[in-house]
Amino acid sequence: MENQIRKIARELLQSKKAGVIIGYGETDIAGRVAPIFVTNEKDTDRLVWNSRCWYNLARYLRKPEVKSKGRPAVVMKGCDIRSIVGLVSENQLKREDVTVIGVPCSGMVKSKNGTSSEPLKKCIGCQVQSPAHADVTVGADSPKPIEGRSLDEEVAAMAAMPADKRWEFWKQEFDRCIRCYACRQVCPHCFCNSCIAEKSTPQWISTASTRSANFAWNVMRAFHMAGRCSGCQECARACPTNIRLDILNRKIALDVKEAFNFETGIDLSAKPPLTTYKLDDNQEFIR
Amino acid sequence: MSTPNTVKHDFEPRIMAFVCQWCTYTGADLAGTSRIQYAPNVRVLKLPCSARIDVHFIIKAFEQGADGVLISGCHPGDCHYTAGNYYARRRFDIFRRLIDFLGIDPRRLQFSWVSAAEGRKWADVVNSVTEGVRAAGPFLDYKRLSDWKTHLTDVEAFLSGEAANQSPTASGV
Amino acid sequence: MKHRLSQQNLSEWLARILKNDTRLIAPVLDEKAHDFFFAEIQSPKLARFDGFTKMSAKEFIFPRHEPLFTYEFEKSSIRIKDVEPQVRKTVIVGLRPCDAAGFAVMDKVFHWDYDDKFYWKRREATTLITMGCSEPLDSCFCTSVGLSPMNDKGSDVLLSPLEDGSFLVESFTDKGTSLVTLAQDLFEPGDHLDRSSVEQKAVAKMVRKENLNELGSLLEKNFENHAWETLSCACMGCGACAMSCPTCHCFDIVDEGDLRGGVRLKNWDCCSFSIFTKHGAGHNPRDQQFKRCRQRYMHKLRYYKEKFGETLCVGCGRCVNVCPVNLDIYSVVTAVKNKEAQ
Repeated sequence: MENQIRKIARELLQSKKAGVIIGYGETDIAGRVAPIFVTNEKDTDRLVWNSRCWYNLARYLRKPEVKSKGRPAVVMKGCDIRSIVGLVSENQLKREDVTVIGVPCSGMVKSKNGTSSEPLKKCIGCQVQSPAHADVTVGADSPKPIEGRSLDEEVAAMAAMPADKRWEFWKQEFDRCIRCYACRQVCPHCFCNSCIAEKSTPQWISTASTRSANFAWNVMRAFHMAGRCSGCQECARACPTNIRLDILNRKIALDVKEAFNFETGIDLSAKPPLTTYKLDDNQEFIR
Repeated sequence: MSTPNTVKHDFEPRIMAFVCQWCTYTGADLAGTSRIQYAPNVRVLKLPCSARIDVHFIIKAFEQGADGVLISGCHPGDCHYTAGNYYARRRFDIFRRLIDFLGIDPRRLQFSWVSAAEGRKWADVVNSVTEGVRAAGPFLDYKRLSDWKTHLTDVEAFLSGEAANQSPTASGV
Repeated sequence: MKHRLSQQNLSEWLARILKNDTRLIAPVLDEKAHDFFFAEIQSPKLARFDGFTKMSAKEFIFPRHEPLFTYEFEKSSIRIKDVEPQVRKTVIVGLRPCDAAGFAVMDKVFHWDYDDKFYWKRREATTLITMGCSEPLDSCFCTSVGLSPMNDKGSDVLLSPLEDGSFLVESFTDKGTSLVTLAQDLFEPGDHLDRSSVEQKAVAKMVRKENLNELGSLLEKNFENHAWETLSCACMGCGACAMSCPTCHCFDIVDEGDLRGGVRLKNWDCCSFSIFTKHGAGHNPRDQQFKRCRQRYMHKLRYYKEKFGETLCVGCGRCVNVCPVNLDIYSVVTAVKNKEAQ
C-alpha cells in the first residue's frame, strides 16, 4: 500500500492537482511515525503506511503554513475522513479544495514504535475501516475487524456507576489537567480564532490549574464539541496526563445520536445538530 | 401549591435562575404583583431569550457558589424571537446529560417553560426546585470559596475550592 | 562520602524519611492514567524506579499555579496582602540525572535579576535523590548536552545502580548527607566503589550521539533558514512539550477576582501558545507556529547558554515522547546542523 500511496502522491504533484501531500513519514527514532508535508516528487518516497499512522491529519487542513504550500492532498483513514466531512458541514472547508487519499485500515497500535500489537482504544469496534468519501482509495479493501473492549462499553459502564463514584472519577481526572490545551490544539474541530479560554475581558475560564477552573475548561470544551466530535480521540492521545477525554466526548456524541439522530462525519449534507431544531425535540426534562 | 416560607431550615440553598425577559421574567413579576408567597432562595438574572443562555453561565454560577441553577423560558411556539427556545432546548438537553454523567446531582440543574401569565406556576417551580436543591445539600465540591474576606489568609484552599471533600450528592449541611 | 545501599534497605530508608516529618515524592505508576508520574507517596512500596515519568518533577518546586498576593478594594485604597508560600520539608526520590540537572540549570534564571522567593523557599526545603539510568531510552540524549545517565549535576544524593542490584550512594551536599546520616545503619561503606564502569555501559547504550552543546553560533547564523518552517510544520502549538519539560519555566501573571478583591497568580505558560507574544496593541512578532517552534529550540540551545553559560535542555526526551506528532528537538536541530554543513 505504501507504494500505491507514493505513486498517487507523485501523480498528483506532477499533474499539479496537488501542491502538498500531507501524509505519514518515519522519524529518527526507530519505529516512530510523524506527519510529513511533501511538496517535491522526490520526497514522496518518505511516505509510509503502518500501524503507527495514528494522527488525524485533517487538523492540518486548517493550518495556514500548510495551506500556503498549495492545494492539499491528504492520506486519510476512515475515521479521519469523518473530520473532513464535519469541517465541510460547518463551512470550515470546501470539499472540492482537498483531495482525499483513502486508505483501508486494519487498526493502529498503542506503542509508539510498534513493538506491541495492542490496538489503540479508538480502533476497537471501528465501523469505518473502509474509507468513505475518498477521492481515490488505495489497497485491497477487506480489513480485519479489531477486537477488544470498545469505548462504548466503557462509556456504558461508567454511566451505570453511581453518581458519587462518577464524580470522584472525573474529579481525579481533571485534577491532573495542566491546562496545556493540547486537546484543543490537536482537535480538527476546535477552530475558534480566539478561544474562550484566552479571553480576559471578561474572563470566563480561569487560566490557573485549579479544580474548578479545570472543570470549567474540560466541560466547556466537551460541550462545545457536541455535534462536532468525530471520535478521532486525538485529544485523549495528546493529553500529557492521560485524561480520559475519549470517554467524555464519546458520551456526548452518543447523547447527540440518541437525541437528534445525528453522527458527525457520515453525511456531507447533514446540518450540525445544534444549529437546527425539530418541533418535537425531547423536552421531558423541562417542567 | 405555593407555601409561605415559614419553616426554619438548617440549609438555605442559593439558586441562580436564568430567565427570558419576555415570558418567565414577566411571569415572575406577575407572581409578585399577585402577592404569591414563595421560597426566596432564587436570584433571577434576566436575559433576552433562553437561547442567550450559554452553558458558561451555569458553570460560572456553580463556581461562584450557587447550589442549584434554574433555567426558564417561553413555551415552544411562543418565543419572542420565533425559534430561540427551540435551539436552547437542544442545547440544554445535551448539557444536562453531560452534567449528570459527571456525577453532579441532576436536581441542581432544572429547566422550565413559564409563560407571562403563569405567575402561580413560577412560584410552584421555584418552591419545588428549592426543595430539590435543599435535599441535594450545599454544592461545596465545585464552588470557589467566594468570600474573599474570610479566606484571604487561606488562599491555597481558596484556589483549590476545597471547602470540603464532599460528594455533591450527600445531603445535609 | 560513598556508601552502598541494598534494594531492601532503600525501601527502609524511604520509610525512615517519611517518618521524619517529610513529604516524600517519587515516581508512581498511576493506575488511572496508566503511566508513570511523580506523586506524593505515603508508603515506600509505591515508589517505582523502573519507568520514566511522563511529566517532570518541577511542579513540586515551581507549581502549576501559585498565588503571589491577594488584594482587597477598600474605600479609596487597595489593601495588598503578600502570600507566604506554604512549604514543607520535601524529598524527591527517583529523579533521573537529567531531572536533577534541570533544577540546577533552572536555578540560574530564578536567581537572575532578583531572587524568586517562591521558587527558592521550596527549592531550599527540597532534597533531591537521583536514581541513575542503566537503560536509556531511544529518545534520550543527555549525553548530547554535556550530561550522562549517571551524572550528579544538581543532585543532593545520587544512587547509581550497580551490577549486583545494590546502589552506590554518593552525597554531594549537606542536605544529602543529613539524609544518609538519618539512617546510617542501613548503609555499608562504599569508598572502594566507583560508578564509572556502570556509567560507561549506560552511555554505550545511548542511541543519539550528536553534540548539541556548542551550537550557539550555528543557530545564530541559521535563524532565517527556511528549514525551520519545513521541519516544524507538524507542530500544532499544543504546549505539552513545555509543560512536561524539567527546565521550561515561563509563567503568566494574572489577576483573578471580582468587585471586592482578588488574587494575583503565577501560572505555567508556554511559548508555543499562539498568544504568548501577542502585544496589547494586537501585533504578534511570533505569529506563525514555526517561529514559535524555532524560538523554543533557540531558547533551549542558544539564548539560555548565552545568558547563563548553560544549555537549558537536559536531553531528557520528555518533549519528544509527549508530543502528539513526534516532533523532536534533537532531530530538528541536527537537521539544521546538517543542512548547514552541506
